[in-house]
Amino acid sequence: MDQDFEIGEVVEIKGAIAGIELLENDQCHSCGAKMICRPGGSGKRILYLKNTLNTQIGDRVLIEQSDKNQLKLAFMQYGLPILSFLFAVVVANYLISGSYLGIPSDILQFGIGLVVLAIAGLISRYWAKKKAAGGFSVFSMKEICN
Amino acid sequence: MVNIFIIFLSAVIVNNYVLVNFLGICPFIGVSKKISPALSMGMATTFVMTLTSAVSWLINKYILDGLNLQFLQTVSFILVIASLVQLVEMFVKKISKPLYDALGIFLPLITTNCAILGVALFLVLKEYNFIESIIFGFSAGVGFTLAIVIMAGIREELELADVPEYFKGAAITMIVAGCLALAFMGFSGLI
Repeated sequence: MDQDFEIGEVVEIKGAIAGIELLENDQCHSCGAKMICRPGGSGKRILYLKNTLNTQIGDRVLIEQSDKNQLKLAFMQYGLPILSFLFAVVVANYLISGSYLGIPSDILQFGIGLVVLAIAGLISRYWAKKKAAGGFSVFSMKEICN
Repeated sequence: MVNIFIIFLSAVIVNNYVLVNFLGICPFIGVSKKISPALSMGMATTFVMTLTSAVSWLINKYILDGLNLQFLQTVSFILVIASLVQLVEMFVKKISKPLYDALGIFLPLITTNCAILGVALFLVLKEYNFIESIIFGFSAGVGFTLAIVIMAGIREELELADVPEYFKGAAITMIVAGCLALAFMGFSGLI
């Protein structure tokens, strides 16, 4: 597993941050889901990255995508919360057998699972903030390729 | 415990949603060019499948069965999936923009993944209890991840292989998918 690259065009600059619109690549060309793939149905996907290459509006830049960082993020975002949810529900299932205050046991188990899921989400949020402060990013500018 | 293990093994290998039931083929083909995005997509799908199976089971038992509205199963499950994905997307966007930039593109694809609706409908048909439904949803997600990662691994190797001109691209991908499906068919009868 290594790096992946995409090309984008700088469309916005806010201080040290550059807004880069990703250009459609070969994989997107024939994809039927490309419209819903772009946030907000805008048909555009804009990344906000540190302007490490001192780019100007209109510059085309090569963007590097780190697979390792993407996997770390995916695990913290989806893997950890769902494993926590699963663990909590299974444990609750062993501990809670009958209804409590008229609430059926499965709803109680689901509720406990949701609470643990929320806690795992908060841990994930804290981790993401800490990493972001340390300059952790999935995408980074590689070079200007006008 | 044995029952749960059988459900897990069945959903991951014997009745793999992609390679045996042929559900969720679009992301299976579309996001299997590299291992890393494939694994991320698999994790996101497993997340949504597990939560969908829990919510769908509760809705089916306490609302649809209770009010004798079973004919609304498909519609309500579609609503559950769409709402869950939307909720996850909003959450990811709110807590971390880099996360949303990196993984947000997978979420709309999950909404249109028929394997998730398949899980919700199958768990009702199989009359699982609550815990079995959740394990079933999670296992189906693990099975999806397994299939998509195997496919991505093979496609990464294919980039280096000397594939005849006419077989390049979609043709060789479909052939590989067919071979994988045949291999997984070999597990039928295991459980």
